[in-house]
Amino acid sequence: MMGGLRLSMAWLHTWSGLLVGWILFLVFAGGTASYFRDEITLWMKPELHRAAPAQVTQAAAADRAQQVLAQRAPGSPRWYLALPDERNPAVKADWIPARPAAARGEGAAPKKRTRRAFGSATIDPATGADLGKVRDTRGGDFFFRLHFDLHYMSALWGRWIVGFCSMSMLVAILSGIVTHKRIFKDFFTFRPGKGQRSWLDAHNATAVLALPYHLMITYTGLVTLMFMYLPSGVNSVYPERSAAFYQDLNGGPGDVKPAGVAAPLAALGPLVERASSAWHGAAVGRIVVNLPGDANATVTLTQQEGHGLTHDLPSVTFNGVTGAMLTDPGKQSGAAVQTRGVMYGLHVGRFADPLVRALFFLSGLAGCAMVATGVLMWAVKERPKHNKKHGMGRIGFGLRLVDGLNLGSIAGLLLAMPVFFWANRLLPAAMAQRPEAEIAWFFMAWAVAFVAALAWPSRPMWRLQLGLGGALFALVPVLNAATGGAGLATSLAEGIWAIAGFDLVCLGLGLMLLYAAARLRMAPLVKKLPLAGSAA
Amino acid sequence: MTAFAHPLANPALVAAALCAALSGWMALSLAMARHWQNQHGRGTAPTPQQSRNLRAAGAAGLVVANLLCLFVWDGAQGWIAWLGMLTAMALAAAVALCYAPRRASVLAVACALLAGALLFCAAALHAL
Repeated sequence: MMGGLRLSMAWLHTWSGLLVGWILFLVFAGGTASYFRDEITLWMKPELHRAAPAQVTQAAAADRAQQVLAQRAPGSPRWYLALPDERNPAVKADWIPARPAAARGEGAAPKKRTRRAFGSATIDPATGADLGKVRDTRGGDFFFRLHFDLHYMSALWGRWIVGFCSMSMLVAILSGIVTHKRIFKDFFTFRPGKGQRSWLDAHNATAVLALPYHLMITYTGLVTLMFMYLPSGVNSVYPERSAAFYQDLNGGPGDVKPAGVAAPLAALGPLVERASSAWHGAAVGRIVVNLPGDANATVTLTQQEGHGLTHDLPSVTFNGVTGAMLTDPGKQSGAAVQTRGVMYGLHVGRFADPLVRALFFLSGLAGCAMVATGVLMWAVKERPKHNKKHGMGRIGFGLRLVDGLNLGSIAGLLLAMPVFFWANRLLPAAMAQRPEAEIAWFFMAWAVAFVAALAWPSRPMWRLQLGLGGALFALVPVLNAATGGAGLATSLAEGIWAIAGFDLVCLGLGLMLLYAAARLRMAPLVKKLPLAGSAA
Repeated sequence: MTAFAHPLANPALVAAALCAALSGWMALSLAMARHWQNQHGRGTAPTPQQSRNLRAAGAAGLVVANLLCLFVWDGAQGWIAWLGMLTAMALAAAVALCYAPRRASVLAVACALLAGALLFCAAALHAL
């Protein structure tokens, strides 16, 4: 009975893992990089490495941002401000641009709101200077969006695809636990140089030893998008207007109609101070100003992250003209909202201090390794069967396809990621459409690698792509120092840890990839006939 | 967050927790036949008493790491930091057992001693 269950779970594990593995590797790699989203963005703006803006109070920063936005975003229906914190010395401002006069007042105005429709600025909190335009880039946000929106398709499609893959991942993890016969006996076991046995050991170690993380990140990942995947509950209570639901959930400004009467916006600084004192000194993190300059303006302030696991942070809304407090700053959410808040918070890990962030990153790398070893093992196990059937060294179409997909999705992505960083530094700093050009370089490099992988899925191709990716990664510190960033000597001496950390992590990853490429040259093609009959 | 006032005391406690966790995993691994044999030679096995002691020592190392994490970080974050440390140190233990299988017990003892020394340093810094 148990053998039957194990065998059927082994089948389920193999196919639920393999078929989505190539996308999962992208999701894991992009998500792992996103733990250092802010640091990646900073690295990709070398002009800012040495220019740590002067420290000012949150209230002064809010006042300064208000002055800038009043000029930059006239008539905008909504501003979003992120105030400075430990990882972000600048104010990040986004706004919905004013609708063009022709479309205003018409019911059939185009509803399409893409990311590019937003205006954005990175504002020095002390001087009000725009720091963002020194070098336009998506930075770490690119990997963050890539890991659940994908690219070159609507975000909706991307999220459905990623959601399907995540669900498969959850199935693969649970069936993997059932089918792994020796979780405790092989707990610490890794035996290199033994063909299939070594791949299985590596797959087991990276899966079992980081199992709490894998379960958490897969499940909470689905939770972050649960209102999209399982909309019926929300639809039954909010039959028509999901905006009303999100307003109740997030306490945002809601769908207030403009009064059409101009009224000066209240100063944001004093509102920041009042909110902070209502929270016993906890800092304000984000501000949403709805209808600035209109008589119906509201200002919603949300507490800064870092005071607990939850993503569901306390917020308070003020009347944007009179400054009257409209909501209770100490309001507690219901149990369901709090549960979701903690799960969301666990997934994005913004609460984490540097050490816990590093531990999350390490577990994320273990997840990448688990997915990569998993899909590679399928090919390793399949090869002897093909050798038997087609003759030594010849393989059928399916295995050749999997070989190509493995190579293109693993080595190809590891080649494209550093290309993105190199493009950031080698493209002219002031060129138009710069963020799109960087992203195009990323996908061009990946596409070339993928085509080459599908055409020649061979060991020399693995060596070539891993070696190239490794060299590009390992040379990132050199590139950084040579193209105007704070090089390792400077960043270590002056304690610019975000930049030093980025350089060192890239160097480490690069050396690991170069080592992998070198190992592939040393090892013979078929060292030993792989063991048969072990469950994956 | 700040369990001890001295700026170096908390890093010392965190380092002690990492050492205690690694030491604990190494002790637990030595209670297993495969890793014991890798160190002490084929055909040998720990006596039942040795096995029990190793398991108790290993569990103690993990518990010490847990208590230190809960002391340094508040509640829930302490548990997350502990789980993260367990993962990181178990991977380190697997690498150590693969590439230096004969030094398993040396590593376990060295890490335990280092954890103790770091704890002592943290307490001394706090008392200063």
